[in-house]
Amino acid sequence: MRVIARLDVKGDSLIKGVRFEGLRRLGNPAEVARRYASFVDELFFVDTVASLYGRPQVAELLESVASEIFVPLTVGGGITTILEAERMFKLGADKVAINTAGFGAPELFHEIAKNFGLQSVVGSIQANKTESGWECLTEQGRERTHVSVNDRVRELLEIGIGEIIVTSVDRDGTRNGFDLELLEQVLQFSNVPVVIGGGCGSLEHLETLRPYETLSGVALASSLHYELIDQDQIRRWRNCEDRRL
Amino acid sequence: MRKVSIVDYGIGNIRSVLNAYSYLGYNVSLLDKPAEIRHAEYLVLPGVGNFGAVVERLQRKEFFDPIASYVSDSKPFLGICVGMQVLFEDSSESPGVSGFGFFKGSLSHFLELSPRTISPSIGNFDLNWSADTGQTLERAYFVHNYFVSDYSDSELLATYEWNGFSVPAAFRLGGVVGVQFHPEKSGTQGLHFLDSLAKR
Repeated sequence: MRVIARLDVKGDSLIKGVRFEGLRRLGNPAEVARRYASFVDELFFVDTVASLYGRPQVAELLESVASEIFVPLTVGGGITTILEAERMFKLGADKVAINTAGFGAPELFHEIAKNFGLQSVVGSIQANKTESGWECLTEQGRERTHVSVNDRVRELLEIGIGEIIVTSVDRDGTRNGFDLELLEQVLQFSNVPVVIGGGCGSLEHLETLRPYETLSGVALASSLHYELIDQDQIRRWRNCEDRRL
Repeated sequence: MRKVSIVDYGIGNIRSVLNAYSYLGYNVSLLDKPAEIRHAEYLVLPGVGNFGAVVERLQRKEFFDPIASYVSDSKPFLGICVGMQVLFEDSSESPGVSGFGFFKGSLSHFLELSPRTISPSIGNFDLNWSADTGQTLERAYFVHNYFVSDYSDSELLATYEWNGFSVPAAFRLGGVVGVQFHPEKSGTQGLHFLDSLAKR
């Protein structure tokens, strides 16, 4: 299973919030990225303010890390056009994750896939638990869509994407553990690789993912930033996982 | 140190391959003129996406024939991902499209292997090298839907295990090496691998 370090970025700072709110500044994202790259499989940069202001600020960061970090880099947040996606790829991104701009705009996914391959398109889902199930949010959890996660997964698969990353908004930053029911729902429908994120706060939480043989990856933020899980534990956990396969 | 030339035919992301060789200290450049192919000291063909689209783009940009003659002379060459795939004869991804046919064999989709499979195969996997390669790369990053399903054993260098199947990971014939994985995305070990090949 892939371990993906998720780095939320605002301006030139690495930040982390709880349920996508109350953001705390945690340092220089390039330095942190360099450190994580020695023990995680991939890095996922999220520009948390780009879709608000319509300009991806993560570009500079990407350019500086791509020349010295040699693991796959995914960029999300505020990518609304094929030109912006192309700019990210030129700066060294391997994949772009799209949520907000992808609602009602399947052609954005198609265009990126046509030019950069299907593997470069990540469908990002921000899932919020409600009484009737899970609803997709956009704009970094700020906007409701009234679209259920199940419907969105089906839609994304129909459009054609390389993988799905689903983040539980109501667990994000809480350290209460993964939303395994949400994960099960998504895994049940998806025939592309699925990455789960949101809520991990300990090695025990990571262990709860073990039974999900078809799960492709896990996205970690708080557990890495606050050193709730250390790099040796991650290496050991991942090696164990791989041997089982 | 050999000069490294990366074929720039306008498809996919070649930046990371360029970055990797620069980081290693190579004199590396993007090669965008087909006539320069035959002068290359070490030629790298990256590639992502669709087999047919890559072949079509190489032909349209008039790279196809010069590369075909470069590899047929067994000159130092590295094909990465779809850049490796097009060295084979054909792929079920693009029926009727011929690759270079330098390596004998063809590609199939993972779904043809097992219909209930989750594809693409993404992530770092342990490599099993054939005995005499001397390679030290233990793990490498893969992302692909199509795999080499039919090949000549003598050209196979390495495999990896994926959902219980042994999947080809690297091939070699003469100076020409093809890898399904992304050494430029496989961390420090991946860089060493690129260096060890280019140095030979």
